[in-house]
Amino acid sequence: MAAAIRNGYTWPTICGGQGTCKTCVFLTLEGQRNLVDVEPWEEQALDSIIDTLPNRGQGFRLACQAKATGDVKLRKIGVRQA
Amino acid sequence: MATTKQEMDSKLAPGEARSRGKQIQDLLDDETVEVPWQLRDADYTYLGSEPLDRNHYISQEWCDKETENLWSRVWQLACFEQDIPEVGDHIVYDIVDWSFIVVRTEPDTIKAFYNSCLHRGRRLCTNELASANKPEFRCPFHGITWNVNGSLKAIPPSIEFDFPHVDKDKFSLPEVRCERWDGFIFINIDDDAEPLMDFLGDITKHFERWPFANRWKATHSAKIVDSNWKLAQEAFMEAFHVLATHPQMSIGLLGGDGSNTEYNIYDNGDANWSRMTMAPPMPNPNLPYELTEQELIEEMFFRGESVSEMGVQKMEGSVDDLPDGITTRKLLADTARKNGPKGYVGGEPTDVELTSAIQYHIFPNISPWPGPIFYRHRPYGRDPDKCIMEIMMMVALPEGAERPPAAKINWLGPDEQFGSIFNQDVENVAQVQRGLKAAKPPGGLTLGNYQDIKVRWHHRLLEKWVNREI
Repeated sequence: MAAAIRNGYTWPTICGGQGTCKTCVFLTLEGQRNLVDVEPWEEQALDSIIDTLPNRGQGFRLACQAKATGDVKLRKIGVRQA
Repeated sequence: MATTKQEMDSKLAPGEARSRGKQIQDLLDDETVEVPWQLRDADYTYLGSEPLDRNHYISQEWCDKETENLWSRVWQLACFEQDIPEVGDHIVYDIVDWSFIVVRTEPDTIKAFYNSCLHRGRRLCTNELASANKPEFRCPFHGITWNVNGSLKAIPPSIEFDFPHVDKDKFSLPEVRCERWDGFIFINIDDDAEPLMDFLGDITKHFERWPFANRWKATHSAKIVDSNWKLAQEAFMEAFHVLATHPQMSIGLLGGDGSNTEYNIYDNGDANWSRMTMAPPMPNPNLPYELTEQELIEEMFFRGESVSEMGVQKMEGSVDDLPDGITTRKLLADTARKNGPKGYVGGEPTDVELTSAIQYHIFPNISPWPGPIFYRHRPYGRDPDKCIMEIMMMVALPEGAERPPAAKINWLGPDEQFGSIFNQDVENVAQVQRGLKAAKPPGGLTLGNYQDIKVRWHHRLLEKWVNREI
């Protein structure tokens, strides 16, 4: 999420990146290896919303936790150019 | 009294601040069918911001005061008429130290008796909260038997000689007051209590739109929970915990985080009932920028699911098939309409009724919904750290449909759960109970001025009962 904001995008979040709201969740399409590993805390957070995600949450990450180290292609509704 | 920064900035009086975004009354302005007066009857009174005494939840002394001054005098739900449909059917209703037998004595007559033998005091009936057809109440200790109308049936001949002092015509089971409303059976231990209908007040007029008399109790689950009865109940008295406690309900973009829930208390907080209405899915007012309805609908279909009154439900079809300009709220309401809404009296159901969670509360411990959910929370004996939590599904039946037998109570074991959302609440309140004990004294609780108004209302009334001001 921080990388997107730095590059001139807005990203949907309610809690401002504290990991509470899970609104920032996105689907990774390509470049999964360019995201830092899922920490136990993020895994727990994703698990709490698994019933509301397609394909049992497969490929989903929280943008507030998933730091990008390279190019990533993803799907997130509501992201816009600032 | 503390004043929030928002209140100072905007010069709002305490308790007048609201979340961002549309409120329930704004949504009602958009309805295309007639809005029932019940939804517009939306009173609220600010009741101050003083800390709430944590002893209400953890103190044995307070628990005993509740027993002596509240449960001994207040109208309380014993069961539903449909629990005991035939003459002789009865249930046992336990509250704190007391136990009562509620029995149908004639096709349209229901009585309640103290569940205690007049000889040595043994509980006459032990089949707690399970209906059973039995033509008499026979004490298992010495066999003295009473008719279902409470009159003495027989003292066993072998011991009858020892009771020459008993006037058999007067040796009836003592009755406890028992009155009915809309299929509910209430009891009151206080012979001098006001009539039930006076106690209930105008909530009876509200529920003329969503009557209970023709509903069917489809499920009834109960569980002993590790918290005070009020804590468990308060999980359903405010909705702004949804974002953190139930993230699967808030579904981010679709709203439903509970922040723009409407709260209503009546008669300046003196009425024995209250209400809250959770907003339906709509652009989440707490996002830093407003999303379009198109984006919301895309999100809903992308996830393949959405939220409804009952939680998450599957969405069918394609976003491309939808008419232009439709909102998420309208889409969900129309889907609900197609599924055949039932139980509405006095006009077509509004979108708000079909897509919001509207929860009423009757002091001290039941929560009827216009929708099917129904809660009751009772103390577990005199243990302030435990309670009995019950969840029932009260389903409105189509006109003319025959009602199936009411569900019997299903006691869940320690490792069994009500369901994912309820389990999150159960885990949460158990930790609150422990946390309250861990607080540095005096440990007063800081409530929200508006979102916690039902909690404050409940404790304010409770204090009046405990202090015998009511």
